[in-house]
Amino acid sequence: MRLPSGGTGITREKELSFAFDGKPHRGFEGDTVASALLAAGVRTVGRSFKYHRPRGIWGHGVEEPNAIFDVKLAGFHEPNARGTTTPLADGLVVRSINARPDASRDRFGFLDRFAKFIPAGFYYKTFMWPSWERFEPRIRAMAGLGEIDREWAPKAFSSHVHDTCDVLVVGAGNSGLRAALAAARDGRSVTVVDEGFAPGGQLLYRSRTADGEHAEEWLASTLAELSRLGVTIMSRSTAYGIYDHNLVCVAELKKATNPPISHRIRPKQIVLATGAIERPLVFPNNDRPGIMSAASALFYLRRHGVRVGERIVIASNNDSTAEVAEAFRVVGANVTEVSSVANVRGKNRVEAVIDENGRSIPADALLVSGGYSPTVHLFCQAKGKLAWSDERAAFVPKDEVQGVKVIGSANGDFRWRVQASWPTKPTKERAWIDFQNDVTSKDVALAARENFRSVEHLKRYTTLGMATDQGKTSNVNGLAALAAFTGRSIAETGTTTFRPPYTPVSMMAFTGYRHGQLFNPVRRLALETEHRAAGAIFGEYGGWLRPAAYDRDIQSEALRAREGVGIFDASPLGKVEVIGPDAGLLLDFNGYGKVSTLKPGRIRYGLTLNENGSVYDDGVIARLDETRFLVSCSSSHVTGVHLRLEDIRQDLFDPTRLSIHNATSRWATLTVTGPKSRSLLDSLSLGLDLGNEAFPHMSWRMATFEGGPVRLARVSFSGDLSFEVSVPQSKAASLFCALREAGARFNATMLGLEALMILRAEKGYIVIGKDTDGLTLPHDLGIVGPRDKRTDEFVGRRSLFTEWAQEKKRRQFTGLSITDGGGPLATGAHAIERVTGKSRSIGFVTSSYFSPTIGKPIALGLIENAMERQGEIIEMQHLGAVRKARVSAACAFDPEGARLNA
Amino acid sequence: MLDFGQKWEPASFDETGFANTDTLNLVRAPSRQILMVSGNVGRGLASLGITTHPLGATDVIVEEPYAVALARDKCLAVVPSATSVEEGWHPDGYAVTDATDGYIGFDISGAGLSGLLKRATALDWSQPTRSSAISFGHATVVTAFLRDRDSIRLLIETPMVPSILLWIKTTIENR
Repeated sequence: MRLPSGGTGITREKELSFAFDGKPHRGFEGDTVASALLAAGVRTVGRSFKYHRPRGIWGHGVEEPNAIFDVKLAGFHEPNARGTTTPLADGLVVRSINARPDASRDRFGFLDRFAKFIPAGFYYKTFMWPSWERFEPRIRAMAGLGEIDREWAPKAFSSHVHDTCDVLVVGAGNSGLRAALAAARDGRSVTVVDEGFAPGGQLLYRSRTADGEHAEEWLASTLAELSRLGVTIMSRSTAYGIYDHNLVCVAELKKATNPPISHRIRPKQIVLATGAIERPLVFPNNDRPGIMSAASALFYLRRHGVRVGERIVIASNNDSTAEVAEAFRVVGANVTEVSSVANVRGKNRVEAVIDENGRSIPADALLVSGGYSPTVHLFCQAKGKLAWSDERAAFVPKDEVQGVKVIGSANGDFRWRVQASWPTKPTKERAWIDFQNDVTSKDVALAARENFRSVEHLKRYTTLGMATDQGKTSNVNGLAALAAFTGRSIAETGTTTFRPPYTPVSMMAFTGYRHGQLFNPVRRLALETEHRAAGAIFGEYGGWLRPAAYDRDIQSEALRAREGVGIFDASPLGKVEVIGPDAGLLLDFNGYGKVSTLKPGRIRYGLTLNENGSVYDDGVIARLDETRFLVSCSSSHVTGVHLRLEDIRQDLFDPTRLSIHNATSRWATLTVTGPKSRSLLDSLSLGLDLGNEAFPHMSWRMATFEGGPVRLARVSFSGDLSFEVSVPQSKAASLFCALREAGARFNATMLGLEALMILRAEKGYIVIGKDTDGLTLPHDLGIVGPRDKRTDEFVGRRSLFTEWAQEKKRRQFTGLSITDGGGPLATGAHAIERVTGKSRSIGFVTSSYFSPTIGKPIALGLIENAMERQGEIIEMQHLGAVRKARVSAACAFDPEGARLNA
Repeated sequence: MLDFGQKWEPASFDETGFANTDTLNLVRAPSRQILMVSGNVGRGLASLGITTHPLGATDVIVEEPYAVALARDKCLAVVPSATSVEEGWHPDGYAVTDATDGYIGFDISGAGLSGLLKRATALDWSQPTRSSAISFGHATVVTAFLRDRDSIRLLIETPMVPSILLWIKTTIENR
């Protein structure tokens, strides 16, 4: 109940209304959902994960295992929000989770009666017939935490903020604030992060500091000085992980309706003043609503003016509860202190406590303290090691970690004396160790009996310390029980690995802005607006948004380009310049074919190989002048090719005689292809003789367009007469308009990537990664000249002469003609060979289309020993259907290349 | 056929109106010629009338022309438009390539600049850095401060401009 006065954390003048499980309640500004529910006398706030037992509020911070809610406010939705860390707000709608219709009347409450049939790991042994999948959905529906609202669309997103400071103090309690003060007085920049709503930690509800000073006064003066010294204090900020090089990630909750801000702080020194968490005592029925942490009861009393009971029993194994007993006596509660509890009476709430002498003490609240566990998760994430301390009955930091200092309770420096009391044997009635995951001492005993003696195995088998709880209240009790049940010491038993996040963090904190358009941004063409206006259908290719087609009838689009002229945006093709006196030598080393012999003004096609000899990329190289080459690589390989050339320059050549410049972004390239392409370009008056003699295939020329440079390259990926016309991006729109305008007279068609794929497949031109795989060597493509003739070294050369590289059964690139009169083969269909009744894959289809030019399907593939199989009819199998195809030349159209050289 | 043009909003390379707020102002930087210079950078820049070292991300652009460092021996020289320069290899040991249309410049100023930069990059702005090419948002962007560090210039690779502008817009909306 709420006391008529008191509560340093609430503003009684400002009342707030909220709903819990459909019922209206009221609270004050400064309340949490948990404090408001306690004030309203609501005891059962949820149902346990597995057995659906009624559960009440245990703690007052992130350690809370029971009060987990589904929270909605002004369009903001958060499943699995802790009631203890969720601030009350006007209009807040709170629902208990894992309870239907609500926490007090849960219809699955009957499951507790069948507890003996569903102990730890029951799903490994039962519900196996006829299949686990048949039961799993129902079991999952009956157990678990909150559900995501699939209809909910966030209005705000989590920002990622990068910060630096000299000293980062995690925890704004007594020790943390003292450390911050010392560092700030020393002139260092200090940031303090704390999970609480206000800095102070225990000072907010304990009367004295660890040094015996008056807590409230000391806190006020310290905060004032920290403010004067410019110390940043971030409340409601959870340091949830320490990563490499002591990067600390902090989730800061600023607005109730916004996701957290994710801070990534790189301090020079980390001070962990993360305090300690009060442990429960393990006794039968220790999970009944009304049983809670003694320190938390004091917190609610002092911060929120809430008295959690009238007849209070306090059970403790340490002297931290003396102040608790005194405080509750002051506010009129009937307090009884006991050293241990044998059992509890009452089903949905505590009605009586049975002490170790069998005495029944009427009670409506049982406050317990089983000692304190230092919060060492962050220390362990920073690679710190722990040591067991019998004196403190806790694991404490062992050795120092560079850049990390642990102080205060987190270091085991308690001011309380603890008389350890651990579970020594499973009790007849169930005693809970892990409230959140419904793990009892019997479950731990079962695990030990079944030889899950490692704490890591215990965790997986029983789920102890899993989920959002991460063993905050249960870990030490659990491994103490395992130690007892396996006849070992706690130190020998050890702890599980603490991994981030220690405290649950909204997934939105990790994703940040990476959603929608910013999930994986694509590069955009300078001409995108023009392509949209031209009716382009777009696709994502190699990290670019490019026109896939302009006509849903791709065959028609391809045919129009083949018969007349097409305009294709080739801007993403790489344009990497290799410049310097040694440029030719570098490219010779980089590529399969020799480039240094190329004359200025000419272009050569080439492959680049990996060191294992497989084909990495292909493209054309133009020699711009004696010391300058332009490497045109696949659009998806631009960065890779640039870095590879830079690697070779820096590691294997004299870097002062070479430069690598990636100029891809500067140029927009429009390819004009088809028999009428020369006529179309002639009409632009570029001042250039485009005739075959003056401008032959595989050459380039500079000209002028609207007063600026234009580079024309006579290369072709369609197999037709083609010109790649490149202008600086700022002239792209003008060039596009000019080509469209001039093209109108030639019925020029816009050509998308999909139609171009058909045109190149008709010619048997490869696409790296589609018609090759990671095993394809250049001679598998029929390109053997450099391997046989080059005597100098180049990347991948040695790998071309290995036994594997020269195997007879290598998969070789080939064409496949359809002989059964059917449609195109499925891409990926396997070529099969039948040997003694068994079929074996001898390759697969890499590209397959209906060719509008030839009027029948065409296909390319990688087939074992294809060079020697030419003319052979082979079987192609796909999804059970078998078809026939003839191994044939890859080039199905204009094999003489007459159209290229037209 | 799936049209990804529906998924991606039309690209904008120069829309800055969204960022003219009380605390932030985003404008296109004045148009200049941009040259990529590498090799013997000192000699290359001297030939362009630039006598200072290429700037790092934490440096300040004091005067034009200037250069910003991309790597130890590579930079972008920002010079007056229509500066006459021979592209390719120079006997003095440096190479030049015109990169003018490869980048679009933007200037950001205002009280919110510091907050924006903390979100954009992990760089410790109190530590000098020799390189001006930094990870900004989700892409590599070339940056240097203007005036009294109350304004920053971004040179963004042209194809990435729409997504970086969207990133800035998203940041403003989520402050």
